[in-house]
Amino acid sequence: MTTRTGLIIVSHSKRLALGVVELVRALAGDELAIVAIGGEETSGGGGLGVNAAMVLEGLAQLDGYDAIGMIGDVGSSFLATSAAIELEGLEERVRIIDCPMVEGAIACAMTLSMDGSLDEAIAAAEHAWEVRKVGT
Amino acid sequence: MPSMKQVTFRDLWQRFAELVHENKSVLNDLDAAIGDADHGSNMDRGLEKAVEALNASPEGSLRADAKLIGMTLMSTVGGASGALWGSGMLKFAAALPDAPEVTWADFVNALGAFVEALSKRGQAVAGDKTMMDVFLPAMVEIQAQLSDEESLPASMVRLADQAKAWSDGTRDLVAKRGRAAYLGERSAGHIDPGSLSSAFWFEALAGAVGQQ
Repeated sequence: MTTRTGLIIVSHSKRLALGVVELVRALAGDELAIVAIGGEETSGGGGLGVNAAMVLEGLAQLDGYDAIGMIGDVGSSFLATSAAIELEGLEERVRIIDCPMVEGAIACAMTLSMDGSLDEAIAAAEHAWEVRKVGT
Repeated sequence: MPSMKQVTFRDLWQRFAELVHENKSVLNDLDAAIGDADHGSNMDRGLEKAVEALNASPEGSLRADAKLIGMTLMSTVGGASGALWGSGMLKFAAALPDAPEVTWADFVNALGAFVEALSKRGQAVAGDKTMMDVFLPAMVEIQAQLSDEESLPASMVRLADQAKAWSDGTRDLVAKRGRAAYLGERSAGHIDPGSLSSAFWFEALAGAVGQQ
């Protein structure tokens, strides 16, 4: 059985998460399973922000995917995701990736689109910390 | 040996919700200084929902109540506070016997599980300018109090005063965790809002225990 790998982008802002997905799709193709999660002005009084329930809704969209990488923006996106993982016992299925959101998502998605494993994609995403943007 | 009844536990959360509601703008203003100005509104919304859920719940145990509070906070409070209070209360629930009244030792033990969950999830230690600057020393105090001669209500009033002072003490700290950490030295000079709402929890505990 082949492993089906997906990505979840978790941000305080839904628009920011959707923007990352838009960019990643342009570079890595439409076949990639990637979900955007984040707060928006219409989300229950809270506006911007993210909680564990929102992360679980996003993960539900990736039902059938057995290896999922999570990429997030700042602090509480990771707290909400780790709470969601613990709540549903998803430690084996969902991996939190510590990488810069845009660069890491691109590296991760491109690795997956070239048939890389989630482990390889995570390594590529983490390597994004090392890549300078201007000069050396 | 004193105990904690379900009615007292519910009273504690009712009082906590009221304190946060009354101080919503204070908490928002503190958060505006070093965060995104929503800690008060966020906690207020979640606690209102949690109290509503408690009032509607026919369950007859503290454990079921704590689980309900945890699930409600996790799904209604955004950000770090929701994840921390939510998952902390789920661990609190799991550590309690399933009964309408538990011993004070059981309650303190469950609070220990709550604090441990917060440490694990948030990875903050004392001095990082977070809610742990209240919960960690409070846990030490409340455990020491177990064998103390002082009456429970009196010691909880004292603990609530200490909690407020510990929260005040975060003013001079430089944030090491949470969004305020990006501010570095500039985060000093403001009380951490998460520590203040935590101090309100101990004020609510003192009030509820005093009524028991």
